Amino acid sequence: MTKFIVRRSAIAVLLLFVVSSIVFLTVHMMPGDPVLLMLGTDSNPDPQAVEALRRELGLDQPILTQYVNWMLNALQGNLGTSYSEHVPVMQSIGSRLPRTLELAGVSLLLACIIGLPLGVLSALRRGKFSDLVMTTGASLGTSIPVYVLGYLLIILFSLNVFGWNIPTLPSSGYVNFSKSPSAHFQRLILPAVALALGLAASIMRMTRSSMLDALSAESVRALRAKGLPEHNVIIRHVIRNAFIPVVTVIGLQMGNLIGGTVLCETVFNWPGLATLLVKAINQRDYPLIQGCILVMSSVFILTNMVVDIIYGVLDPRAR
Amino acid sequence: MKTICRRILSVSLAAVMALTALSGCSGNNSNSSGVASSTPESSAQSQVGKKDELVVAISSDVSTLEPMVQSGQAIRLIKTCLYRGLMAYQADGKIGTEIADSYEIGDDDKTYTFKIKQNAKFHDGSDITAEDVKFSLERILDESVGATFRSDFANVLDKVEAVDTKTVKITLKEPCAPFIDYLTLPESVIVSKAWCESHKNDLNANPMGSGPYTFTSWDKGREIVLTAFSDFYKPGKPETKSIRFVITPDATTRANALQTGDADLIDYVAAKDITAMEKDDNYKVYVSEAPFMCLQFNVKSGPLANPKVRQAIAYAVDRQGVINTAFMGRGTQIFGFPTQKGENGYDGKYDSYFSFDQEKAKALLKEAGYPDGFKIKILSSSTYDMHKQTAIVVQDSLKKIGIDAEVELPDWSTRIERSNKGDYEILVSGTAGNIVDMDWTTNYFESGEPRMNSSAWFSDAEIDSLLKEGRTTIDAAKREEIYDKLRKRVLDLSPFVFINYREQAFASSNKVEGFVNLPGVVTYNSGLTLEDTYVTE
Amino acid sequence: MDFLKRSMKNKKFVFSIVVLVPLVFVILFGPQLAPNDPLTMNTSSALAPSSSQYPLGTDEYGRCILSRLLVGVRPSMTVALFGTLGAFAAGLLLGIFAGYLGGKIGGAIMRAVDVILCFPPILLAMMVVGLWGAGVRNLTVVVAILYTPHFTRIAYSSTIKVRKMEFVENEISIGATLNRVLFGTIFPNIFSPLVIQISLTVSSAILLESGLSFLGLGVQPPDPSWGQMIGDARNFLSVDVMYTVWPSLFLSLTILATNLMGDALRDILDPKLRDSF
Repeated sequence: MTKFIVRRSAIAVLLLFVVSSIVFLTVHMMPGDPVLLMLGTDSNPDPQAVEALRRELGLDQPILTQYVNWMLNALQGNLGTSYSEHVPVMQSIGSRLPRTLELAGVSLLLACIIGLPLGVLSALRRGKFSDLVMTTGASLGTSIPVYVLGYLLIILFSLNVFGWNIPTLPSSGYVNFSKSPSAHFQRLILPAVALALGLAASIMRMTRSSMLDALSAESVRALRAKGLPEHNVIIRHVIRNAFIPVVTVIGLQMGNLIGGTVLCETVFNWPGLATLLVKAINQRDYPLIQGCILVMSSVFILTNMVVDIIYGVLDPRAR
Repeated sequence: MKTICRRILSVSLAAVMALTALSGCSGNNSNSSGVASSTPESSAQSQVGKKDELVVAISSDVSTLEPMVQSGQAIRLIKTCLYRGLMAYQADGKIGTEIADSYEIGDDDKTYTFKIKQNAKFHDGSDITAEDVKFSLERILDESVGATFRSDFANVLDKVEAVDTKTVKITLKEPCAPFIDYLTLPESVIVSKAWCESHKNDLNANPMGSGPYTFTSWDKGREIVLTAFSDFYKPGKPETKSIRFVITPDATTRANALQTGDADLIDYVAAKDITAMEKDDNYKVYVSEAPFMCLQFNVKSGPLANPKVRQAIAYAVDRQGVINTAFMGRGTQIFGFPTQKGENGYDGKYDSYFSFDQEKAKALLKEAGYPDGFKIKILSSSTYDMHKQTAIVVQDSLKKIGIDAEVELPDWSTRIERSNKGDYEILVSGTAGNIVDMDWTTNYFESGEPRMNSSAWFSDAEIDSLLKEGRTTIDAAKREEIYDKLRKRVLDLSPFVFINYREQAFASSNKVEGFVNLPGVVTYNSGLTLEDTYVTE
Repeated sequence: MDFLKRSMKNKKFVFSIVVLVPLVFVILFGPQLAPNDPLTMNTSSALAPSSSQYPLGTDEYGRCILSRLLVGVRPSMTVALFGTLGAFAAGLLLGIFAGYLGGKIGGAIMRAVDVILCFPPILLAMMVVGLWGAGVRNLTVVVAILYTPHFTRIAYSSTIKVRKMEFVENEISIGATLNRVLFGTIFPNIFSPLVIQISLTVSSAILLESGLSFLGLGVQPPDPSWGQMIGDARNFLSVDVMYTVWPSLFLSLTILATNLMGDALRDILDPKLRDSF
């Protein structure tokens, strides 16, 4: 087991190295010049100031030198200083990452709370009308883009166009939890729901098909033949077996979830890591782009690793 | 200078006046006249009925609070709260003094002597002295600061001397008619010498000026909070105890924030929202028309090197189409030169120099030797819808006179890099002069290396000499003549095709008082009136 | 015939066919069906409501929304279909080789492919588009790269399963060529899960294309695409809700149909095989 975890971790570190190298090269090859944007985009920057700033940032060095420098610093935990925020990249990310993780975490939780039970239920009622309703709902859920859903929620619950007798929710923004917990959660609801619904639909679909697989497995038929009570068979054997692939799917969905935060944070003006990255790309803020993608990929690789390990624990054959 | 101010602006102005008059009568408000000497305490008392906080949702993320770098029009709102210069455009659209108490211009038209206000203080409590003014102007020239208007100042500034603690003498290399205009820029502000020296000259990390608000906190990418400065040199100002700028880049999100009460004031209101909010009593909309959309050309070679082709395009562009599409029908077509009537004595004589005439355009193309048109690329950007939409309408217009244009829509960063290098054929641009004085045209039409606001490789000796003459001539009547010639020459050669003025709008809830959108180009200096702005309970 | 009979009994299959057949028709004959030229502007009637001339109204340039929808299906579908086919081909080759060879080489191939999975899809797409620019061709390549790992994983795991089976062992032992073993014997046996994955990938790819358009990185105007139309229309949500609704509806319906097609194919092709992603 330890060997398995060590091997998986080593692979994760190697992947991170490859990812950050690819990102570094891609980012520096993109057209666009950070210096021009730093010196203002409404007027012509002074050419001498441009040269001075380029020297100061080390952008006049050969790309290989820049790469080696960045990598050496990154290995020591120093991701450089953001061009656009003028603070260490770690600090920029440090203030944004928890917000994105909160949004993604709450969405994931919400998606599981909705998706898992519905999936189980729908599998158990296979072919019945309620199954049809649930699967149709799930198909719809995976078919509506996150941002369309986001605007739909704003129209319905924030602008309340139909004049429903419900408390309206703020459409955007972020309030620190310490400042006002209630305001904090009010602003979290809509983006979290917008992000969660699609994911819940995927989880539900996967749970359902996985449950069906498990229900039709030979071993289950054998258990039933033995005369075990049905609920016993389902809870002890079917659900347990069915959840293994679901864990994998949730792991795989992390990519979409993080991608979804990009769109969701834009719609709801949630000041997280994804909006920071979009800004960094627009500003060609090289250290910040590299930092953001490195952190996002780390989160992603880490979850995949954990999923692999859980998978390994649940199903030793998979090691 | 006179600009088109929409009904709403005047209505809200009237409302402000009525309100100040009213509260003046009841004796509640000590701020209605600038002479009333109110202490910070009494100003705090006058906050009865005013909310302690004003929330402004601004469109652009703040990259730097370094005052001398022009890092975006939206950020000027914040910078104007923190920093002030010697002079500034006031709420009436005219230049007035800020840190300067008064100034005189010497007989040689080259020496400017400024007296500094006795009560002008920095946020750290120190007095503003002549040394600070000298330091600040020289700081603009310092390459390491990266000041946006460095070369503009470097070209004219000879020396700055502190005569005594409150008197400073500025000597120019040659007379410069628009010099005072340059001093009103939010990038020409006065900063503290002692503070800069003890803080590594880094005002972004340590913002400290003499404006009505002091820096309190900055949560990067989210919000900036400022607190009223009790020793501000305008007694009784600012009207609100603190301002929170919430960074809200998406226009729809910004409008939503105002509708849901999350923000009191928003900037860069999209055209569709202006129309909707004007109809709704819950909002005030503040509109001025200043920036204009235009096409720039790379005139180095090919068909665009021929002025006739450029004129053909000037006749062909469907300006109303651009306004309808990109600005929801809001804006004014420009068939001549983007000077408002009254600016430097302009009488509107070129306002219909071109017309929308595709037959004439085709004839001009034929004359130029392109009866069957040609292929060309239009560079715009997908980052800003109005740039994208303008490009698409222009593409459609050009197709109708036989020019087969392809639209390129990279993101803004790539677009900037390419426009600064002159790497384009036709460029869609949305711009505004930096100053009101006609000297703004120098940046656009002077020959030289390609730059953001010039048509790449455009060069004309007559225009160059007119620009120089206009800048160094002080006599207003003579300048009118010079700039009249300039306009004619520019339209003849058409290095730019001007399309339309667009509206620059702010919107607030109807509880907000005191905010004014300054007219014309100075709309970008409207942050000045945030010192008068408050929200009623 | 048996296949057809089973298919017609499947409600999802029937529904998806009902949506997809007209869709294919529109893809093929969209320009002929369009009531107006999708590129002709009439800026004085921008954002007009539906009328006899413009059945679904006009967009901000005064162009016919219906015509643009009918023509705009092509780029979205080109990106989605060809991107998916590219991913399918690449994933199949990589996965089948990795699975057949197994051991270190197989593992190395899988890890290399995993690198792509380390990027959240939309981020990788943003980087590639930033580097090469937007456009149908580049987006297709992006989709192909992004979804290669999914096919590789499925091909790999299925190949490993099949590889151990007796009939494959037999074939290898009698000395069949590698080509024959891989594509003659193994491929037909791992085909079903891959086909199911194709339909799922197509729908993800359509979603991704529209997401990139939302961020302004999609198909280049003035040519329409559904994704780009939603991206443009969202700005007018408060003025003209239907402008957003129409392309959203078409898009969601298409994704729904491809999703259901995937489900149906799974039910029909291989009721036992359900380890799709």
